Amino acid sequence: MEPVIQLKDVRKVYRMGSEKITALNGINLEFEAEKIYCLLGTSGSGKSTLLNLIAGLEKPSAGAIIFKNQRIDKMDEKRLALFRQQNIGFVFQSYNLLPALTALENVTLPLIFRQVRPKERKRRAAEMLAAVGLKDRLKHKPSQMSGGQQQRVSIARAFINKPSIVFADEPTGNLDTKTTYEMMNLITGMARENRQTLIIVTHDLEISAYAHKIIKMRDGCIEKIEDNNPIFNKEDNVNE
Amino acid sequence: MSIADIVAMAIKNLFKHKVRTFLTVLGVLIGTTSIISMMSLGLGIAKTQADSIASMGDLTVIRIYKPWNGGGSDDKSKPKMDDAAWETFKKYDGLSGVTPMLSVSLKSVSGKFQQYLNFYGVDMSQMEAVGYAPKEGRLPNGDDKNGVLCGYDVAFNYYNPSDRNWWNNREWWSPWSGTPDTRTPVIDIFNDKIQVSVDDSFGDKNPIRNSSKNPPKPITIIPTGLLDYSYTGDNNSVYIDLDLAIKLSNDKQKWNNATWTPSGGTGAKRRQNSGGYDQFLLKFKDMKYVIPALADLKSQGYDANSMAESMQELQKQSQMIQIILGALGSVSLFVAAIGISNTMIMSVYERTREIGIMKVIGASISDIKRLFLLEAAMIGVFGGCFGLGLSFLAAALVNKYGASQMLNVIGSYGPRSQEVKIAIMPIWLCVFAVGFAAAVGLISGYFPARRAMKLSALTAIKTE
Repeated sequence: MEPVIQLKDVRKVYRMGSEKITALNGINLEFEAEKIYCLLGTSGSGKSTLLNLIAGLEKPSAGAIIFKNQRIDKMDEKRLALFRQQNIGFVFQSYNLLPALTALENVTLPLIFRQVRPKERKRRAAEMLAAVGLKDRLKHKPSQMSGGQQQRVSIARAFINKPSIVFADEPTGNLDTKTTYEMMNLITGMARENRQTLIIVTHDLEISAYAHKIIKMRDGCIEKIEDNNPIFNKEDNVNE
Repeated sequence: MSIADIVAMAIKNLFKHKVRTFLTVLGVLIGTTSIISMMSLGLGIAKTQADSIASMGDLTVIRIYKPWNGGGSDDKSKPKMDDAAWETFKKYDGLSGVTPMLSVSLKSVSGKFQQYLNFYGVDMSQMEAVGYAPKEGRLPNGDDKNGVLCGYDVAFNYYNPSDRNWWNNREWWSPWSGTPDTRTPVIDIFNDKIQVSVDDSFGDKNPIRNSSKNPPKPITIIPTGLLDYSYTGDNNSVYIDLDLAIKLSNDKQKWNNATWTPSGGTGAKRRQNSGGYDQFLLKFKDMKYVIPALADLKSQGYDANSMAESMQELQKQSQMIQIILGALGSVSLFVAAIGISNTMIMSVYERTREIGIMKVIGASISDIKRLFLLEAAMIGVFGGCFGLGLSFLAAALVNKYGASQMLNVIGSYGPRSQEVKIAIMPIWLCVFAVGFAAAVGLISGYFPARRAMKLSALTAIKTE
């Protein structure tokens, strides 16, 4: 199958004063469509940097990042914005919802940027929030919701545009175990349902169980790529 | 993002920080108010001065006077005021009418009343074109034998020479007083018979003549129209046909020469009518034609005058006043602009994270830029609109309470009968002020907006 994203010899070097820190050192990777990937590594292993590069949030120091025959690393800000708008969804560890907006408005935002009509986007956002189990929280502001609920809003926002790739950067870092499983079930379930590529960045081995492929990273290099038979609905039996 | 969405979001953001928005808008409000008030004051002063000039005479008129030669012989260096000159005057651009004026002073008698009147011989066909419109009756035309146009005061100035108290009993009125004219005319010019003669003793009971000759027969004039009061013209004058004036002038000359004995010795001789005219009256379609024509006439040596000249001088002056007032007013708007910039920069700092999130989930950089620019422009527009309202209030107050004192300060002259407005707010000033405030907002918001636009999404998101 044709890969959705290809990384060819990608390097990323940060300059900290006079010191150079190599965050990524010659990464070669291919991500196939409709598969779930897990970037596993300790902090400082370069996994977040890699994700930022693929999402076009940062530029590589060397190498090429190709998304469906387009060089992401060569795009200017305008095209990157369009690229993210059309192809990418984001779930963050810290949810990153806009505090002044309600759940519904937060989920609507990506549609606003894509100039979807108000009626249509309201309907779709409400549907999406219902799908993540927040049917009765539409008018709530982030401050009025629990961490799990906020992350659900963030998931709804990431998926509402039906992007071809969804990034999840430590999506469960701030959540308890029970909620972690709920979130992971939700994210992976949605990715499967919409036949999307899901790239999860985590340091949590348990979460990697959801992935088709586990990419282990260490010191800016790929240590190992493991194939995995992904689990689907993992139930939390710790508390039961 | 669609425009409607950007507008909605901008309004939401402004309302999120009510106090800050209010204070910034207040700054713009004060700035706009001060600039509008100053400009409307400047316009008002200019208008008042222009009005007072205009009330004193028609701005589109040039008067050319015969050079005064001190009673001596005609100055050869001065151009002649004759028919040839008349022809050249007709060629000026934008001319709507021209007439020569030949003045002759004649004794006029109506019943037992009499007075000396200034008769101006004019080209009657041009009277309307040079701006003479009777307030009563009509202009004389070719069919009227001895038809004349009377000045405003003519009917009031007849007196009975045998009435010793006529001067004391005379009624007085000045248009400058602003009160309506309540005098009763001494004669009814349209119905009473009015005769004029070149003979100064005409109508006297015991005419004293040092000539045995009989004076020419008096003629009867028929007024067809009465002029309104003129602030510049001679109100005790009568306008007659040019040919009649020439004839009367010649008759008077002959009669005077026949009756007059030189007192300054044999060398002194009564001024001969050199065939020239005393005045030319040129009226133009617009003031813009007046200035070049005036300059041309002066370069030829004519003694030409126009109110437009003083008007031009005055315009320069009031333009200067307006610029100074405008500059004073704009200082506070400039301060307000800095306020907007400050508010927007604060806003960008505060919303760094928000901007980052928006970028990551698909906002384009132009969306972000537009959002910030619009917020800044809105502050400008709100401030501008409220400032406009306040300015209207201020203008109304100034006009109601401060106008007459102000007029004294700026030294305006002219009749005070009409209502004076010291602050004028034309539509263009309102539109300009709000537009200017919006522009100030946009400009002050530009750099903050660029800053927001250039924020790296990644660093923005990491900011807590």
